[in-house]
Amino acid sequence: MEFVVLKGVKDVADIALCRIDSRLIHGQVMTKWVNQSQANRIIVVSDDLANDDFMRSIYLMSAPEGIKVDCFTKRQTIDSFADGRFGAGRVLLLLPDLASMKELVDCGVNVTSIQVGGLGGAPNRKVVFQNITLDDADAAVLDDLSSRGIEIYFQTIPEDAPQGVESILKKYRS
Amino acid sequence: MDKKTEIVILTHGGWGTKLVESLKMVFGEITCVHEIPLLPQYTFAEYYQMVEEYLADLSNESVVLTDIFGGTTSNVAAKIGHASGMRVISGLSAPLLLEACSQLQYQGALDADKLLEVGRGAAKDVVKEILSNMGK
Repeated sequence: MEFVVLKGVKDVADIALCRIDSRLIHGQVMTKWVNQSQANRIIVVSDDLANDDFMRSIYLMSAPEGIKVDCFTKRQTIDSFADGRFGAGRVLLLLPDLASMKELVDCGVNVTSIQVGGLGGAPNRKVVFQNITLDDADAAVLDDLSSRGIEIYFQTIPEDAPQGVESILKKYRS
Repeated sequence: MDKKTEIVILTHGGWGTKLVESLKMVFGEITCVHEIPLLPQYTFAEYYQMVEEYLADLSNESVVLTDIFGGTTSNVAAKIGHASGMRVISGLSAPLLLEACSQLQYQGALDADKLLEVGRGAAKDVVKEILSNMGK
């Protein structure tokens, strides 16, 4: 009888939720998503925060009790993913905008599902759902990512019904 | 010209305005309080710019009172306060704001440490306090 021994299989993290929210960790929203996704770890992807001790401290302090929070630059996130998918645990991956998401996906961070929960306002942006706004650049990223088979939906809190990207883009282009 | 000292309040949605109106019932005229509400559509950057612009025209002896620690209101104030030294106190409440107005009106200046003390002490077990005072 032969036994096949699997050697060197690292613990790989489940990406329990990949969320885009320009407000990152804020208020009760993150607590709800951590509970809903059963994530036990948050990875905040932000070059700005990774390089600003004070602001990073602000965001890390807002995290729900008992959950490990890391703040990585985009490059660190890409490398950590390539090196073993973030290690053990159930990760809530949190990014501030779609451009960052595209960069990660382009560099091999292959998420299967993206939740858009908050995108900031600015004069040239159009409201598509609650307080989520888009511009042409964001719409192009959504087209690109969804054409790769990634499920993309818009949802602020778990109590809200999620909106699929097709209907959102239709609204944007109407 | 000297910059003015004010109490600036930052809340989600602007409930501070109602608080100020209500406090006029107990305090009388209040002119030293200015609110900058955080509305749901604002980004951190937009709100930061609004608050920073306003605070830049005030004396550094002013105090910012925010509603919730960890909210965008407090985070924006923290970033500014960290850079300028202006004191920021979260946990805006009626007793806290009353104390701040009293200080400005009767002492002409704000004492942030004392404000912190009053803010912290704002929640009391009412009946217990009264009974314990009766015992004296």
